[in-house]
Amino acid sequence: MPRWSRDQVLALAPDARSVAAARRLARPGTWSGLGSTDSLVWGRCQGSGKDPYQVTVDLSEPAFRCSCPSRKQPCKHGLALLLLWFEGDGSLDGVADAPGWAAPPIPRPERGARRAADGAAVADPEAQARRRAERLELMDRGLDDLERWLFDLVRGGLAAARAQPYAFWDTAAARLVDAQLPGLAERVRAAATLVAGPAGVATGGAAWAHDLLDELGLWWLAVRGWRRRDDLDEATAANLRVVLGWPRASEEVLAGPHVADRWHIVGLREDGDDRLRSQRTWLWGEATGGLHVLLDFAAAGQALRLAHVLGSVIDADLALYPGSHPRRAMVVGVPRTIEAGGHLPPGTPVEGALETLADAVATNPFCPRVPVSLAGVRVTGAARGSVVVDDGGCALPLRQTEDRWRLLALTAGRPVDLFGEWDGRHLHLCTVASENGLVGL
Amino acid sequence: MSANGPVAGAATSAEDELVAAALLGVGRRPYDATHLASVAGLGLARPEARILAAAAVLGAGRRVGRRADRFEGAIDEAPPEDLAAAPEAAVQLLELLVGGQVPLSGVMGGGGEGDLVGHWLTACAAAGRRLPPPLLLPILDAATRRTVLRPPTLRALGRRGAWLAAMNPTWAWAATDADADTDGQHGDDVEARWATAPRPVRLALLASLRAQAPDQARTLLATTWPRETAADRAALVEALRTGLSDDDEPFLEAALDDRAAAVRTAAAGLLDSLPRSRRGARMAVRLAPLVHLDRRRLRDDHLDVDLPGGPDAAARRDGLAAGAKGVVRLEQLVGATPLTWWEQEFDQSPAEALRLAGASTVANALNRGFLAALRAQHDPRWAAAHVAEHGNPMALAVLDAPTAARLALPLLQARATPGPGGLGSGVGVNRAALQHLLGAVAGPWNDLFATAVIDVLRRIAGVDPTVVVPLGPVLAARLPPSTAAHVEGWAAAITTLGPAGDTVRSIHHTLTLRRAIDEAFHDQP
Repeated sequence: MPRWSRDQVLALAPDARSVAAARRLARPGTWSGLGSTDSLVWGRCQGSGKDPYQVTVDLSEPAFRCSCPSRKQPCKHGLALLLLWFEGDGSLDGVADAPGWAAPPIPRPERGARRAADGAAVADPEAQARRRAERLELMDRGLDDLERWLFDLVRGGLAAARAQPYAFWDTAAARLVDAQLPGLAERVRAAATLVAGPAGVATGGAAWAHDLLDELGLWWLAVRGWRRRDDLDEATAANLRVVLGWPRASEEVLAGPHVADRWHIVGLREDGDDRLRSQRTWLWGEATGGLHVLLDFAAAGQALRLAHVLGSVIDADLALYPGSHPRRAMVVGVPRTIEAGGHLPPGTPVEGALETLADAVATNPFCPRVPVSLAGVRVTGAARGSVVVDDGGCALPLRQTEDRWRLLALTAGRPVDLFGEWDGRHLHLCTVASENGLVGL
Repeated sequence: MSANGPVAGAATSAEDELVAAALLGVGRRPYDATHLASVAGLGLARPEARILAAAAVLGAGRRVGRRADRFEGAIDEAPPEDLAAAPEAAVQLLELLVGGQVPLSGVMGGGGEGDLVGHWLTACAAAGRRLPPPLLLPILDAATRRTVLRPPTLRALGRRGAWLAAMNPTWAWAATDADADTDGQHGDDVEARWATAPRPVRLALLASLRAQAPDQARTLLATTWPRETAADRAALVEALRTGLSDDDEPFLEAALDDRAAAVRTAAAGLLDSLPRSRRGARMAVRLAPLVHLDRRRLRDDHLDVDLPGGPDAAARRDGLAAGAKGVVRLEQLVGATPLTWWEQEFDQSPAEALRLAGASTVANALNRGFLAALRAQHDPRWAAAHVAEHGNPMALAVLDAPTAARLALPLLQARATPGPGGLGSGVGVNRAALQHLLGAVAGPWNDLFATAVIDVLRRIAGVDPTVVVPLGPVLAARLPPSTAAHVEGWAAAITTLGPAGDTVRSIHHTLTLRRAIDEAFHDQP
């Protein structure tokens, strides 16, 4: 897509004051997390508030979206972002896949169609190589920085770190964002709530210390892994890349191997906070036996794409992201057929869930959760902690949410087949197999 | 790596060492990972690196080495259902209603009389079906918020629903104890509960027992009566209104001598509804000398009524107020006197008696007294006569629905006829009177009345379009689904935008949904 002229950008402004304000904001220092694809530009603009505003512009419309409260359309942040892009020093270029919060302001199918009509952007191999080198250098410096920060932290002690204000973690996270390590940034930010948690009784009064240590160990593992990245096998390198938050262009994934199968939609799960929501769609291939996951993101106030209907079966090709099990996937094109009648993968007792996670962690220590299919288990214990029990008396704890009432209503305490995600602490149930097919929770 | 990998065994002491060092910081407490060969073997020079490596190894080890918890307790299972689940078509309708896919305007939701969820539940219970498991939660929650939904919910909940409700204190109202009928209310311990339970529980106990075995309930009440406080006695007497009969008369007669005025008032109020009581006879004796029928040969008969004097001690015991004006005393006396007395004393029909009273010099006091008496004594003959004589709906609520509808019809049609109080009278349509009239006829209305209501309202709406708006809830609740086509025609005839059209359309919407619900329960297997 050709760049617009400065005048074209300014012609979009609702009034002269917006133009003046946008000019003042159009300086790289005000922005973080900048990036662009051939149809999307995004960035975070530090305003007067604590959290930066998340700004996205879809160049094909153009359409603006900004988390600021202004009712002007476009707001000064959107205009400033376009000015930056227009004056382009390259800081906006070269990221192929937008982060989740920068989901496009208009529905995807439209955008896809328009993009296809425009034809593929002409790639400049030399510029791409330069941008990649710049990014790697940025990440190198960011991870060195993280290691120094980690060393300081463990030298001073976790007890001291716990006394730190929220800003301690937030500042570290912001530096990681600047170093193009948004995945680690998110984990560091989340650690602030981890240490704020109550002192656990079960683990000798320091549950938060165990949790925080687990995280610190993984961050340091990421640092070490990054330094050895040239020695890592492809799957391990890909797992590491996910943890760091270095997105992968869909074109690259589509260019990889495809797997054809009849895929049963066996689980849907939504996660996230008020800024960003994510949706995982679990697919099980009846011929290959593969269990893969589709990921979708939506920023605050936006609807998640309703990708697939639980219990349906799609005959389609999946393109698998590099990495180890469980692997992220994307559906290639449009499914050939969509039918009802999906069922759960063959189930195991509780022990099977533990083994699945053990196998996954053995190849990918960063693996957050594994999909598990449990056969003939019962849900019990509404009064205190709810658990899922197999007929051998082995149990997994459920998270204490209101879901258990629905679960008890559906199962009545009798043995059923369930599908869920096991993270090593809690079972997050997604699906119950009932006589009328799969029911989501 | 298996779940019983080598890391798990060494974890405890290594983990203690790690956490202790990490909390204080390796600046203060050195850490060399002695318990953890895999880290010690890395040859990391800095203690910071060693402790971070140990954290990574132990964290992964804990996740890999996690053992399943053991569950030893009993697993609580719901009892098997004894009713079939609601038919699929009905379930889909309820899903639409609770899922918010149907925009429920004020006339259809909110737990009012026209509430479609309530209608669904009632239809489900009437068909001998129960809620399907996925809808137990939304309905339990809805009925927790909107208490009018609770009675039909209880009947449609099924045994799994009751089992579920017993586990969540929020739903305690729905947790029916399966054994309650055998050892809860009729067994030996009912007396113990009656003697010791707090007041609200005792009132509920008395009310539920009254509904099933009124005599037993009164006998139970008598066992503790002398020990009850005055406030409790008044409330307990009032609770006898459920299942009230002549068998209660001796108890209530005795309560007229109670020390507390509130108890005496409550007892007198209940005795008003028992015309065969001794108190009723005493009232007739007081009224008799005041009323004279002047039978005249060439002119209409005439009723002469004197005002009663101040009440003596016996009259005050019966609840007649001292200090009231003469006309008020007369009204009270007529209200407490058996209506049959008038018929027997003067050999008059209710209609004749009402007509004579209306021509007397104290017509208003008599009319109010008659109205109070026919309501308290629940006398349909007098109620019908009252409607016919006075042309107003004041007594309609005493009548059964078909009779009420038949008698209300001419009143309704008068509203749409040019003339005083009707159309073109220059004062506009009296909406409150219309609402009162329709509200007094219990639903569901029969086709004849329902069709007449629609026709009349359409005529009135031709002059005053918004007259239908406040009537929306009562129309949506009481019009039968068979009139849906009629209402649709009405809606189609309203061409202007505004609340009138919206109301009629949502009435139509409600009727079609209610019909769909009824059909789903009747037609489907």
